[in-house]
Amino acid sequence: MKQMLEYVHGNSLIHRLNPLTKLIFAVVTCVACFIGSNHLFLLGILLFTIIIAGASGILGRAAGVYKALFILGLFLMLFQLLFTPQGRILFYILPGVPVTDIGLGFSSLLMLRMMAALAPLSLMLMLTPMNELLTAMTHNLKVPYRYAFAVVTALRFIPAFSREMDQIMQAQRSRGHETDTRNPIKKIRVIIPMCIPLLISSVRKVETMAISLETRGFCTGPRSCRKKLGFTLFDILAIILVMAALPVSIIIG
Amino acid sequence: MISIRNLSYRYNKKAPLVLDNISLEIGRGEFVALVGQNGAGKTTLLKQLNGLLKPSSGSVTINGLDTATVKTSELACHIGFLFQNPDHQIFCGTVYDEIRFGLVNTRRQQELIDGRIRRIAGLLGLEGMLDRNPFTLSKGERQRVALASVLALETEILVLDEPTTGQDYKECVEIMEIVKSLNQQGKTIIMVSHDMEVVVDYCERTIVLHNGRVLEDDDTGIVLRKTESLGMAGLEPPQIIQLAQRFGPLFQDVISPEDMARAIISCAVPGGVRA
Amino acid sequence: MIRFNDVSFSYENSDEMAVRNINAHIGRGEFVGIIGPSGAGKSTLLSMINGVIPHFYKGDFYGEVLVCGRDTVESTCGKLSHHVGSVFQDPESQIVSTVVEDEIAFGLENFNIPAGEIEARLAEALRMAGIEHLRHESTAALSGGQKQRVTIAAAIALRPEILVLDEPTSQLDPRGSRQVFTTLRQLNREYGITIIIVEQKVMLLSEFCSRLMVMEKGRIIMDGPTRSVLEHNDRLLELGINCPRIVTLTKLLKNASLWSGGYPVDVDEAETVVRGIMEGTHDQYQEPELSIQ
Repeated sequence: MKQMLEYVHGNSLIHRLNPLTKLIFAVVTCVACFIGSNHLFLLGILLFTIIIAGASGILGRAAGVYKALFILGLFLMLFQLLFTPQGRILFYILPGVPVTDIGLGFSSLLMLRMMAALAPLSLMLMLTPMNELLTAMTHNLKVPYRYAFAVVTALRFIPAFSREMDQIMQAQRSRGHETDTRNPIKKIRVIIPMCIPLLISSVRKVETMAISLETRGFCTGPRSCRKKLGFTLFDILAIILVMAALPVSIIIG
Repeated sequence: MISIRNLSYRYNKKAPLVLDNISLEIGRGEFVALVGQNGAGKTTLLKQLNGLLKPSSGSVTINGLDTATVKTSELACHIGFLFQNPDHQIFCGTVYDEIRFGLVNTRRQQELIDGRIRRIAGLLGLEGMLDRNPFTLSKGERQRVALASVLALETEILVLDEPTTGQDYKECVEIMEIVKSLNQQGKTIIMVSHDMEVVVDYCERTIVLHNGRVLEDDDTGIVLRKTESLGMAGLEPPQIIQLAQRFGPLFQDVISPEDMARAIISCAVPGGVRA
Repeated sequence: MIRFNDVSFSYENSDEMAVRNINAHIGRGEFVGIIGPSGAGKSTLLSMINGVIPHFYKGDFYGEVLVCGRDTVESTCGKLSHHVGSVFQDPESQIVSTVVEDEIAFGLENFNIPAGEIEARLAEALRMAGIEHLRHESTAALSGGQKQRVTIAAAIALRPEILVLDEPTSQLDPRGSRQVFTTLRQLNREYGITIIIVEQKVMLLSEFCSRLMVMEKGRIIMDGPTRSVLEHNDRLLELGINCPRIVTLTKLLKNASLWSGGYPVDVDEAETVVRGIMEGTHDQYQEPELSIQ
């Protein structure tokens, strides 16, 4: 999951877009996905995000994200299939568990929608340096800096915590702790030896960070900004293109 | 005891090799240092030993058990693993429970546990702290608690990942003296360290890892004189060896300040060998 | 430049004094190393210079700490950061940006420095820390030593006269540690920045610092030029503080009456000592005691 959020360094045309453009793209496509309920349209959006990933040279990294989304989507689809008994029975996946045409149509739509809605968000995070996102949020959207910083830092810390969690899990497994169990009650007991060290080490990390911020004048007054994030022609084109997707989705959907 | 054959490892198919065709044999009762730059693959190699990571190719066997097929929790009965940061494993409310954790995991007989915990605590000077909350202890004490919880499993092999990092000299010596006595009792010790002084004082054999390959593997005294290899691996020999090397072959067996002083005196007194 | 006037401090919820009766003066351009066992109050002492005590960690504060003429209690961490740059142990939790140049600009932006000047100061900080080549790198991809030099650059971008560092190399490998110390030496010698560093690696401290402070149980028990502190190596060992091995060697040679000069701080100097003895140029040569344990 951690690669869904981490920025991938690059200097493509898309990397250089104004973060606001990317944010608009992510939000609009996300909204469009929920308005449109047409398989082809959703597939189109998904394909479009793949093209963007390819154009910005991060297809390799994005592939991992798509895979994760696909697996998640598959689960969602299966779940939905089991609970949609309406419609004409096509076949049985298990004895007594039918798959219907409505069920199949509906659940595959759900899966596509989930994938198409999350892909642009994750793509935006992979293509935008956190600092630029922060600047866009504070200067263009007028979000108070303190809050914008908190959100962006939280996002940035997720991969760090996930690495920390890996370490802790390995330390406990080395002491003979079995982490893989299917029993839900046992699962809770399995988690405790990992959550407590994670909590403690996070608190320590956050404390250091707070001190480090304190000694660098964080939120002591008005703030300047090194990079002016201008809108280029390409930004405007991209925004128009993305905005066009909205009415199209209403028409097709 | 530990046998590594043509071990290669990468995190995924497209990633570069982290370990590149490593072959090693480590026998019973050895005290081995694993040194190299951060990112050289030291910790990755250690994690191969107890099956936390599985070989991409080649094999690792511990006491005849192939790590590729045996679970880590099972290997935990053969190989104790102390991680760099004690806070990555401590979670219990008391030192006693913390030491007990591994024993319960490996399903030891209940009646033997209490005695063993007290014995281990005694060995590490923790007997007065069994009821205390580990989080109120100092970093050095927490490291000893973590070590105790690993020792409680009474494994024949002990793997230590930078056990002295972030500790003061006194705490460092305390930990190392305990490890040394365990080694004298026959335990096999494999330790990652950045402190060449600790390596020279305690480890018999030193393996230098660089870019996932074994660059040097020999007696510590010999390896720490290979300035070129050490330089390549971002390390420098201990001060006394650096000093001795500036005098050519004159002090070639010198390792400790005492050796060096003795050698200088025998050269400097009238009738001794002159430089 | 920095003056401690009879300073004592105890943390909130603690009865014990973390530091007590500290009287010290650190002048412009010094390179001071602070050593001592853990829990001796080293970090507490540092935190009083950058204002983290009493502005972040609260407690009972006695006496006064003056940094560049300002009383730290009256000032704030933010204001003090123009005088004192701070670097901590774990580079991961100090770095807030994904790209090196953004990280260095972060503090400058916080102080509302105009974009044009940020550019100049950013370039200056990169040059001073010797990391110009890392400017556009992603912070996550750096080695520990590089990360720590980025945090140093971020601190000096605010043009402080003083830099305080709390065990900055404890998580680094030998090469990374040396890189950090070499950078500090350059900042000290070429730009006159006063450096105060808490560190366990005595070998590096004696090689790079001009002055050592030894702390134990909240007090400064030794304070002086590096060489004269090393004279008391027996006492240091008693306190559980390591001595560089060349100092141990020199002491043995002194005991054998082969050497009566000062203690070497690095291998080059140790070589001079040994050559001096070997070539018999040492004037106080006496029949040595041969028994060395």
